[in-house]
Amino acid sequence: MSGLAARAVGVPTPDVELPRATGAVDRPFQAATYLLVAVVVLAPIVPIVVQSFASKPLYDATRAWTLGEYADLMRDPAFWQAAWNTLVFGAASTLVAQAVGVALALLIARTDLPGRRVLGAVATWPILVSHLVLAFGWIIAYGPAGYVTTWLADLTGGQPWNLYTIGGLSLAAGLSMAPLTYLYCVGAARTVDGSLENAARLAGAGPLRALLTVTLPMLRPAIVASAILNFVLAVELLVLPLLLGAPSGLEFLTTFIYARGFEDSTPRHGMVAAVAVVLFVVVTILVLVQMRLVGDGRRFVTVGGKAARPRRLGLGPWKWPAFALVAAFDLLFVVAILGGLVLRGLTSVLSPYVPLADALTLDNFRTIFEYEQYVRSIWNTLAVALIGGAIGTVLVAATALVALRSDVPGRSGLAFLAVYPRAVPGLLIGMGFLWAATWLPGLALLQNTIWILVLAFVMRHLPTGWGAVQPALLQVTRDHDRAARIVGSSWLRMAGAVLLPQMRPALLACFILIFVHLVKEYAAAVFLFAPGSEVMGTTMLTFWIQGENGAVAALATLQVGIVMAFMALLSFVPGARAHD
Amino acid sequence: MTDLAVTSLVVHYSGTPAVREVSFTARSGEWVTLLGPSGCGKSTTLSAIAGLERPVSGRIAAGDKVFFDGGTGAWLEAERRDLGLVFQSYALWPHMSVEQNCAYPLKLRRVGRVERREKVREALGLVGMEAYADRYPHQLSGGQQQRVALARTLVYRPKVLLLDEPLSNLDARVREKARDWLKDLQRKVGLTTIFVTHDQVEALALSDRIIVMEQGRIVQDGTPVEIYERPTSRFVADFVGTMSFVPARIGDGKARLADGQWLALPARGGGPRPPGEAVIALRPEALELVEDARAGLATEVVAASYLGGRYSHLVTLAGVPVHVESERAFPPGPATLSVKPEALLVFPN
Repeated sequence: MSGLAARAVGVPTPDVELPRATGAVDRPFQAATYLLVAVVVLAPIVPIVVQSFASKPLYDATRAWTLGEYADLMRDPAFWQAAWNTLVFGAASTLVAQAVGVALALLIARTDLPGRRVLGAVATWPILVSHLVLAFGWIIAYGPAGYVTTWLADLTGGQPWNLYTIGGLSLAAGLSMAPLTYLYCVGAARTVDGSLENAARLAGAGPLRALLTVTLPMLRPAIVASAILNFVLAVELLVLPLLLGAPSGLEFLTTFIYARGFEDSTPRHGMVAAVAVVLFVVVTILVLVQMRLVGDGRRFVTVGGKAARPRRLGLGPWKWPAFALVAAFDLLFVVAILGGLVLRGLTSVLSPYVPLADALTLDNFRTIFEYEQYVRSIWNTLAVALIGGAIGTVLVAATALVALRSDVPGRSGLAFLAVYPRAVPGLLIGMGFLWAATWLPGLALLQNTIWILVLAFVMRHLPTGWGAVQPALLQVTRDHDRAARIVGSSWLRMAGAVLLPQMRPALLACFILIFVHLVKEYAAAVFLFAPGSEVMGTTMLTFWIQGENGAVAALATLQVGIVMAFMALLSFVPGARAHD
Repeated sequence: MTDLAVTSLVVHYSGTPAVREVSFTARSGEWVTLLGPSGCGKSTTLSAIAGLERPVSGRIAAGDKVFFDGGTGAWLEAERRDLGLVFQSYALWPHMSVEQNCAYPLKLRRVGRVERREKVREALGLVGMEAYADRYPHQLSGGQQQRVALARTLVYRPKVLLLDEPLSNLDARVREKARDWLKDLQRKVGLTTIFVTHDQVEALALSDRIIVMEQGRIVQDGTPVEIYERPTSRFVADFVGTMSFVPARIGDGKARLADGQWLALPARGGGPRPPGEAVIALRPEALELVEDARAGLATEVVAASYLGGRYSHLVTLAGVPVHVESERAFPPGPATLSVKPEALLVFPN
């Protein structure tokens, strides 16, 4: 694998002496790990790429190799419109997310903003919620019939805005992604040496000027990294474009694939695959650029010395205006959305015309527990998350040991495989596994069961687990490996007896993080679920489209509750970070 | 050229007093050092002068410009004080090149492009760093960064130069060179300088005046020679230079040590010495190990170590460890210690 990828995933340089495989089972174990990860990661990708060059569906023996699908695509104005919309949406939403997120980070980490601790914590809540649930929340609050919209329309006598436009969609997506930017930048902003700002003050710069000319440029790596991450997220986002864009006929690359590959009675496999490959290529390039940028932050690291006493920038007369702005963000785009969702779950109708007390009811929750499909999707979700969390953790642990602590040739390639799923849109992972089922021996048996979901979900969230485990393993000094080998241990025993116990908190964090992401997952399930193997995400999507808003809101509330409970558990794991 | 006057300054740090009633004046062009152990309030005093820490009461003024006055509530923000501060970490902006670092204060002062370029070149020339103008801070060594940090403050000709332990991050060898260079530079530019350090060697070598601080208060204010040779308290004597302390009982112009030996005291100097319990403070240069048993006090050599050219001996005098330096090594065992009475100091116990 390229040096670029190796650096990005933290694989040691080759001149460091590595423990050689000596035991009888060392090599087979390492090879099996490598093979398994390669199969799981490549399983959904290869069929899509192959399909894009085939004239007929893969299971059809009469297919021929052709570039025809790409040629057709290039001539299809609908594709170009979708690509253009995706670009505009991605750029606009990223812009919104970066502007809001960076401003939040600077204000909360470096100024004397009143109530900054609480305001900062509330701003991160949306991270815990899936985009599917956020989309529901946006529609409940700001959609054409949303409670805020209705209230304002009543007040002003006209529709105040239309969420179902590319502008409304970009704003909703951008504000939903702003917490990610905030998290990336707030960490960086906290570590900026305060004496750099002080030096600017002494040199003659006012507080705002010091913030903008010294602190802000220091955040550049975090800003660029989170911008690319958010752009990738927007490009591969399915649910917001689907729910907010489709009503007004806006089509994006993901909804293009969804409509022609999933909703059509005669799916156009070749064309869908070609679009998917275009999406892969774009996202892969962006993810590689992001990895490279993250690995190159030396110019932004200051030289040691006694850390200056943390001194917050005095906002002076701007103190309360700034507070009002941040509080407004928290209230309007976090509390109003999540609160509206919870309230919708607890009411028969949520509208300014109906007094809340009259509408309060537990009927929605009752409905959930009465309908078999709702109940089944809850149990399925928990089962998939538990099994997937366990399998994912084992896979990540083995991958980390082989990729970082063995002498297997091409081990940096394994590390790259572990982070690559980040570049594959969830929708395509599901589609890829569906197509792979006709190809890979044995996979057909899993089709229409929750096991194929487990497989797809684990593949999708392998990078999440890797992010929790890799730094922890890098922190364990190699002297432990050498000491174990010198006293006569084989590689596998060394890994099991010396390294694994030291990784225990990281593995626990890895399990919880994968579990939480699996509970939230919906995109990868769209192509894979079948009657009997529904999960909460797919059930919510299906029933929402059928208009069952109350029950879906109740189910979403339940999902948020499960996620929050597990994230609370994470705070007990020493050294674990809640956000990857 | 500007005088800097600090009057009855009180600064609290997270609720507890860190600086209590500190007053001093640095005259135009003078190098004043604030010396003391960590936590003595020297850095807090500097921060208050710089405008990074807001005092509780007192007054700070440079020339006729009032920085802070607890009485009238006057307060000038750091950026309006026109001071230069070299940080311990240098605080070079890592995203700007050396040239951009130096140009930044000039940009804030709306100096035109051509003049800016000229002034930056001049300041970098002053510190011998013209060749590094296009480098970034992380490409420089610690000593080079320190020079750039100095150029960045000198470029706008501040009224007063504040130095916050700028030498402490350098290697021992570089530090000595940087010390001489810094002193030379300050003479050249003639700036009033306030220097904060915990290193007494630096303080003695660089200062026109040293202010020794302890627990937020000034304990002595004097020239390096006064501070070293005539410390007014045991704390200053102990903090500046190597000093051994021997308990004694004073009476009749003589001191009686714990083991019964007598030591003659100088006729004058060494501070007041009322009869009674006291400690005698001895610098290594006031002491000598000799062969002649009648020429001094009976001691016992415990250990010797070679310093290069000389030997340092640890001896016990009246049961107390004492440091002595000699041209040659004395073996462990009994020896005779000669004391120059004019170099010893007496403090009440």
